[in-house]
Amino acid sequence: MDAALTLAASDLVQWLGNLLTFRLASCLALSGALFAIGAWGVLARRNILLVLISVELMLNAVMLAFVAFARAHVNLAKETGLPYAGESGQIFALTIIALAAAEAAVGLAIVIAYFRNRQTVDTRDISLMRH
Amino acid sequence: MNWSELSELLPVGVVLAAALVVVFLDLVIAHKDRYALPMVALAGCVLGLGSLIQNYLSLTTYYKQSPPWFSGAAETAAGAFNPLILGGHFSIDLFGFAIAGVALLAGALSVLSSAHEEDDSALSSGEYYGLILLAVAGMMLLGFAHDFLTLLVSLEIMSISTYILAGSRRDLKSGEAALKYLVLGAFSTAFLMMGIAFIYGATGKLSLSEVLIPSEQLVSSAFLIRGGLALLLVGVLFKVGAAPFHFWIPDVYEGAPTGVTGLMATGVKAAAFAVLGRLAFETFGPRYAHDWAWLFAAAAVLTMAVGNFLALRQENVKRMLAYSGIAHTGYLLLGFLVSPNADGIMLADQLQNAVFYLLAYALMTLGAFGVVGLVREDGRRLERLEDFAGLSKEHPGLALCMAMFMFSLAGLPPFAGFFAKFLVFKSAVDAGYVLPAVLGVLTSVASMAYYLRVVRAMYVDPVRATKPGEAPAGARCRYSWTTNLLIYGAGLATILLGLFPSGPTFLLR
Repeated sequence: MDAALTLAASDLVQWLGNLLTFRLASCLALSGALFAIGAWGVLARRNILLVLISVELMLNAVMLAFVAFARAHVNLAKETGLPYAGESGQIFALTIIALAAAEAAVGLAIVIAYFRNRQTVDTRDISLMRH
Repeated sequence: MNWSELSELLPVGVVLAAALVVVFLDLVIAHKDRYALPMVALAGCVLGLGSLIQNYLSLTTYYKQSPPWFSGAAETAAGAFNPLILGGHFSIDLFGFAIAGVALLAGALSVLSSAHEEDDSALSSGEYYGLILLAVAGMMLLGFAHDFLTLLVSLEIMSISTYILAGSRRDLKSGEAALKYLVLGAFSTAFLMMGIAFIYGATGKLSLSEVLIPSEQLVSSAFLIRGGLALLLVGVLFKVGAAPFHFWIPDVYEGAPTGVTGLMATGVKAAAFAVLGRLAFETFGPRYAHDWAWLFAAAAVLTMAVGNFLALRQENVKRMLAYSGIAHTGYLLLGFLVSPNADGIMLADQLQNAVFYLLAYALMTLGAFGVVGLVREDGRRLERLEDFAGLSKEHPGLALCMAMFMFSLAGLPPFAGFFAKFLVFKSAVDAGYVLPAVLGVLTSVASMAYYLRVVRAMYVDPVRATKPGEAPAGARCRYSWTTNLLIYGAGLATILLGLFPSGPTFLLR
């Protein structure tokens, strides 16, 4: 009974461990899915705010990819003794946070200015210059 | 890392400092002359150019040779010129100097073309000139960037400033232009970043000249590298405005204030081509030309065809110049086709030709947009073809300069545009891409149709009355000495550059 319990507990620990193990492929799949959803949102959404949120989603997908690749490079450096290339990916991810924040600030300001002029945020109305 | 190397970036620092000065000056002075802020901004650009030339001269005297055209062409011997500074993040080479110079020129001329605005308060504020200088600083950094991180940050400094600039006039078209530019710009930047992420993941490197050098790094999967480079190219082609990613250009160029349109058409384009050039010459190089150059060639042919064909149907001169800008992107792409068996000298020649094109194109386009930005006495802007009627009678000098810009853009001798086109077509033929060059010549001949329409409107078309029952009034414009300086200066430079095409290269020796 006791032994069986221990076995079950260790199974559980191992299962959890497997679950939590870093897998590059799953991180990239998630990142790719986020990126695709974001791109679809930019192309299909009618509300300009949702379009901006979709762009942010794409940037977050890029950040996730960078952090995942950085972690993979750390693991690789541990296993093989190749030169360590993990830090540049993490720094890149941090930089993207700053860039995304700047872009969001400017983007929202432009949307507000536009809304004051036109009283609309629908992308179908943004077509004054079609000839 | 040697921090004293930061002094190589002093020109950028000068421009940034001028940007801050302009913004604060706007707050401090109470009763300002309307030329005060533009003159400070102009002084920033001129000082930046002076500092750039000073840097170039001191480097040349120190190493007793001029810098290499790009870092890959540098000799590796000890004591030889090493263009890579700050741990390889920036490359102080001739290509960078040239792009920074074109950016400063574009900034100075677009400041001049905006200085006559007084009715529109948003365009005479300190923020407007400050943002122009910030955008110029971003372009200069982009010219020197040699690493994906510095490349991306410089690109965003430039882009975010330009998003705001595009929307700085308080009318509907300007707001719409800013919104479209922002959404599509951010969208393309996301692709660019994802491409960089893939390349980083596959190689662990961020340096432009090293990423494709094979090594035993991580998932050395060819798919990851190729996918990354493809995403990166999508982002870059978007930024330069090449077909099939050109659709944002006409609306953004038409809606933005004309001074900003000039800056976007020349400075931003030159900076985006700096990225493309570094990718083509340093990342891919002759070694990978088989894989990628055909893609550039296809994009070039498509861009020339689309730009010239759509420009034929435009009645609005500003929009016509936007489509002509797309066509010129196509010609410029021809200058970046690398032959698989090119050596360093040939690559340097090609880069030199492409840079000459960027310079000539900047002069004639900024001059043309300077004319388009003028306001007629009756309050209409010189935008539609019929607004140009009678310009040759009212302002013969102005009309003559506009005609010269049109002939030069069409590629007629003896103007700068002729030699620019000749040089890029020649470098495409030398690299073995004859068919794209021939198509370039053909589309260039076809382009004469829409450039000459502007000349005809100015010199031949009868003047019509604006309202029925009134006497017909010619196109009398309000313009000031800054606009005169811009238009006549650009006109003179277009002729001089056409008569002495080796002038700029002579200065380098």
